[in-house]
Amino acid sequence: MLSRLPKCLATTSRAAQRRFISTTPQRKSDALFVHRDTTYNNPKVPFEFSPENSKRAQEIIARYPAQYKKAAVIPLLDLGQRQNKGWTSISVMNYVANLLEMPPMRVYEVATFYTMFNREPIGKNFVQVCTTTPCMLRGSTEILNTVCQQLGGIKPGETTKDGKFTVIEVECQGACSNAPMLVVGDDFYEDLTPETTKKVIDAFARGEKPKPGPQSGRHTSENSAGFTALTSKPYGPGEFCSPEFQ
Amino acid sequence: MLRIVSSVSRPSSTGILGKVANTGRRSLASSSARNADITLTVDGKEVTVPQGSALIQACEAAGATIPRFCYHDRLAIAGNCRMCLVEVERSPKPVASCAMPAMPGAKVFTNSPLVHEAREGVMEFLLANHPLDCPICDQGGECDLQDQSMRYGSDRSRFHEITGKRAVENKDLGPLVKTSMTRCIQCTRCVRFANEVAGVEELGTTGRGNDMQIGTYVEKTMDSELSGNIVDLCPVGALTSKPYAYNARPWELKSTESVDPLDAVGSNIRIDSRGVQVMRIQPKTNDDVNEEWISDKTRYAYDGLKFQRLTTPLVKQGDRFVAATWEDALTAIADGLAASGASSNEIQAIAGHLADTESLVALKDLANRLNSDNLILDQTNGHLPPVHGVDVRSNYLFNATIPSVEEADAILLVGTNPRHEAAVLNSRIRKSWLHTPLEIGFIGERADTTYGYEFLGADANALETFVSGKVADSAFLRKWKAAKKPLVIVGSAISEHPDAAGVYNALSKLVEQEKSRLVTPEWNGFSVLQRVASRAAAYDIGFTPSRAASQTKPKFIYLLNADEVDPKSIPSDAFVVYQGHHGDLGAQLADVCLPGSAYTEKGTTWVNTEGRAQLGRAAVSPPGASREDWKIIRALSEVVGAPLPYSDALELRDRMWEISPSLVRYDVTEKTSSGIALAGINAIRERTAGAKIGGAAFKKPITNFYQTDPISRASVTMAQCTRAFTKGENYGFSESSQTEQAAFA
Amino acid sequence: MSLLRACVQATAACKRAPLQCVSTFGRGMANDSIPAPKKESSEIVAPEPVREVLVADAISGAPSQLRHRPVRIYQPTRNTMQSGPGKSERWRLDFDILPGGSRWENPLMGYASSADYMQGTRLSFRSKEDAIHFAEKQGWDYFVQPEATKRIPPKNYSENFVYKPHKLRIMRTK
Repeated sequence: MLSRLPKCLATTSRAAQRRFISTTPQRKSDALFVHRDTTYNNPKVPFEFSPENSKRAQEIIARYPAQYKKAAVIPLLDLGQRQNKGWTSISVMNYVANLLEMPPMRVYEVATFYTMFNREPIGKNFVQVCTTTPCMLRGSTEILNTVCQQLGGIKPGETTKDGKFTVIEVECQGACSNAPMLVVGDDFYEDLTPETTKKVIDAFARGEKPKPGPQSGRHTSENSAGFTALTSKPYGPGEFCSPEFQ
Repeated sequence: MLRIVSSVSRPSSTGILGKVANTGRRSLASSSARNADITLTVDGKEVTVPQGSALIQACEAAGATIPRFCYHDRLAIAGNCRMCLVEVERSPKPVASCAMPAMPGAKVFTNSPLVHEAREGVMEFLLANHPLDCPICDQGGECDLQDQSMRYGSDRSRFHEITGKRAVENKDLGPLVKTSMTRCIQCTRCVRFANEVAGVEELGTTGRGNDMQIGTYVEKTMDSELSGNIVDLCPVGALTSKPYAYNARPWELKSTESVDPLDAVGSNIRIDSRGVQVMRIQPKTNDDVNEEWISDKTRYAYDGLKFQRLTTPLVKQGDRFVAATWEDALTAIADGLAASGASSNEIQAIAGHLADTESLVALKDLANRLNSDNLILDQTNGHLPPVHGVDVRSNYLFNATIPSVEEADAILLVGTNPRHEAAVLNSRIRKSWLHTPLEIGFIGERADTTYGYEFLGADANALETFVSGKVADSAFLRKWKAAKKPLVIVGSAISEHPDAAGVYNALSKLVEQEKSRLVTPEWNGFSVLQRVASRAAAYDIGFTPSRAASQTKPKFIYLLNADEVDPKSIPSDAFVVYQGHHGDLGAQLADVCLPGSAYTEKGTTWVNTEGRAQLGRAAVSPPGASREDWKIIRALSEVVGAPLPYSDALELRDRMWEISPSLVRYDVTEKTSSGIALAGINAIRERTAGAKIGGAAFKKPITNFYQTDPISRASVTMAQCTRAFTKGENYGFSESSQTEQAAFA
Repeated sequence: MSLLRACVQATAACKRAPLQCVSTFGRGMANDSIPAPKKESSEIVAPEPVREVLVADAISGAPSQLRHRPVRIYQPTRNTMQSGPGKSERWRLDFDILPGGSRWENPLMGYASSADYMQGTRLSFRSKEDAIHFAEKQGWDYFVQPEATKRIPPKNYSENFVYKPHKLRIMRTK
């Protein structure tokens, strides 16, 4: 949503080099912040937590004071989103509002505020490519292009025809030390190059699940050139203690 | 600075907020710890305000006006527009004065270069996305953004956004509020009003940052009887009045401060007129009555003043009305009176909803001069003497007074839905319900009030049970038993109900039981909520039939603004005169129609449900040959040979003073002493002793809030509201396409 | 003003005296040489302070019809459409409209014509007393509308976030 803004800004500003300032186009927000009834997304579509999610929801609600049940709205929306194939339909929001005894609008406010609630259906694999500065400096533009090409030339924000992939650009995911990175579902794929990106995407396309984490072979965010400090074996518990504590 | 939340709805003990230092300090002994005053300096001027005030309030008390968009005196503080920045000594940055508590000893500067620069910065950001459409904007001329940009705005923009300004889709909030959401500056005043005051929790903000917008997310109109107030609250032109769209500019309008008679609250209004037309109606702030709000009927029914008006006297010839001169019409009445052979109690006068006090007095004097006591009210069972009697004023008035509703700690609503009978009062109950642990009990037809209540039953038996104390223990009951200031609000429909005597008997027993709390010298919690503007005045002047008169079959009937009469109750051989301003039901029944003036056309006294007399004022002249109502009756009295002894408004008001001084003691409520109030209640109990209860359920007297009187029935806007809100139809304005339009993730 | 009328009005004004503290009807009576007859009654009527009032219309040449038209003295309240309290501290004096003659639509141009030469007259005063004095001096009937007291409780941003031990009655937003 918002995260895709820089991209669209960039394209328009490139185009604008040839244009007069006075002919600026109207800028439309790229996501609708109102609900429109569609066949797949309307309040009549039933939604209800599955038994195990219901139990989970009760656990979550119990974390907060009884009168502040509304505090559980974000975790419950997330739960609903996971159950509802990765997106938060109006029915999910209404259900959560009903469950937490809050006016539905209060839930809509939360769901529209947070970009990680998808209010439209997404593909089976939700690919989020980080394009914030550290990733960008490490070549995330290339990664994004690779992903898009690999998925048949779709654009960020689009879903492939077979409904398997949705690609979007996102802001920083906090994995800058392993930049560039992308997220599929809940897993981070880091230290990407166009080649490894292709591998990851292909694996998903085949229905496999590649190993998350750095794709360059290094361990977490350790120095890829080997350790320069703390190279000796760290001492374990009990070492160097007086005998009675060993 | 911890304060008890319940104090938020309480008026401060000093009455007016803030005193400039030299106006005398309170002695230490008399001030409680919580309400301690603090002193600070604003622009070199010392000012004392109650502790816990916002800095902006302190600045205002010191006479420094702070520009603001989001802050509003009667709404919660949001602190999101940042326009109210001020400089506080030793503060590293300018502070938002609305979100900052006033601190003792603070030195505040509201006019320093730092402040100006900060506000200019804020204004630049606000204007960055605000369209430059002032020439076609209805807010133009009374726009806060426009005014403040004159001082803090730059004449050119540094913001060369290649993609243009933000554009936001308009929302459909119903037939009253027009939206141009691109102009919105997200002050969220409307959202706060809708949630806190009006109780419409469907309005909110969606999205974030630049894309944040105000709306309901799903397609929904704003179904509230107070929705028009968001037009006032909007500091820019995002929410404007739909019926008034492109009709006038504020500088063309002549404003007249007056009183609204479309319900019994007596909301103070400002009638804005241009030439011969009322262009719009705005609230006039009065903390004793309507605070700053008026209901949608009050605000938007004015277009009914243009349609269906009686502009010339009409005399029925055969089955047609023929226009006549005043002379002919009055002579026709005199002839009709003579021909009908009506004498004494056979002459009946019926007072309708919109009759003003002056004409009621004149009509009563006239009827009395013709030896008639047959003065009845235009309501169900209006031909009977009222069950509560009219000898003691506190039996039929809202004794607790409207502002004191907020002091009540338990409210029992009996046969009333204040949301429709007194919308502005309802918002006070909601305010109190939100901010204090108030509990509300409800006896009557279930209604969607804007606050939670405990349903105790729907008929007189439920009340009887409640009085006898045989109800199951509940939160409300516990609260009621412990309440220091309990309040019983009795609907006006109760006295029209078949069980009226039984209900009043039960109520009088309740008052007797609880008199140590319910009726004390400080507090009178027995309050009758009238719903009709003329009713309190009619009772005050004794516009009620004697027992003998109520049995008499009338031969001559004088309908004064009476449009709710049952045509079957009028004998076919009776001679009927209708005096009023609209050709509504009453006029159809009449033999002679006399065109009177509507409330915007006469300066008359209105007594509201608290017994507060208020003087309205004429804004425009009455159309055609219409005259002020009391003058018509005065003229008629000459023709029928019983001239009334007053010939100008001041003399008539002297007559009112003779009847009851409270009728001309304007703008105050007169308390009935607790002794007399109890005596009045005792009289009810004796009169109604042994009354049988039929057990019919109480009914809401108002089923359609938007059309209750001839003016609102003639109003196009009110008809649209009826369709949109009462019937839930498409009212003809909405153009939202039915085609599917998906948003992408 | 006929002598009889003046007398009647004087009595009337006397009767009204007790209620003058809240709202005031008055009639300029200074040109009456006859003192107002004392009303015999048991109630104690506070004597009106004697004020030297010079009636101006004898000199100003204002039409005497003006004296039959009540004026209203009031403090205009803030326009609810705007936040600014400007112009609300002044007292305003203006005339009631002329019934019938006040306005009509000009058949030629559609403008609003008026036979009321006072319809545009609006006087501003620094204080209520000034306005009353002026009206009395002119010999105008006046009605003083008492000023509205604004009662705003202390407000605090932190109230939005106060912990509530009982069931919430409102879910706050923005």
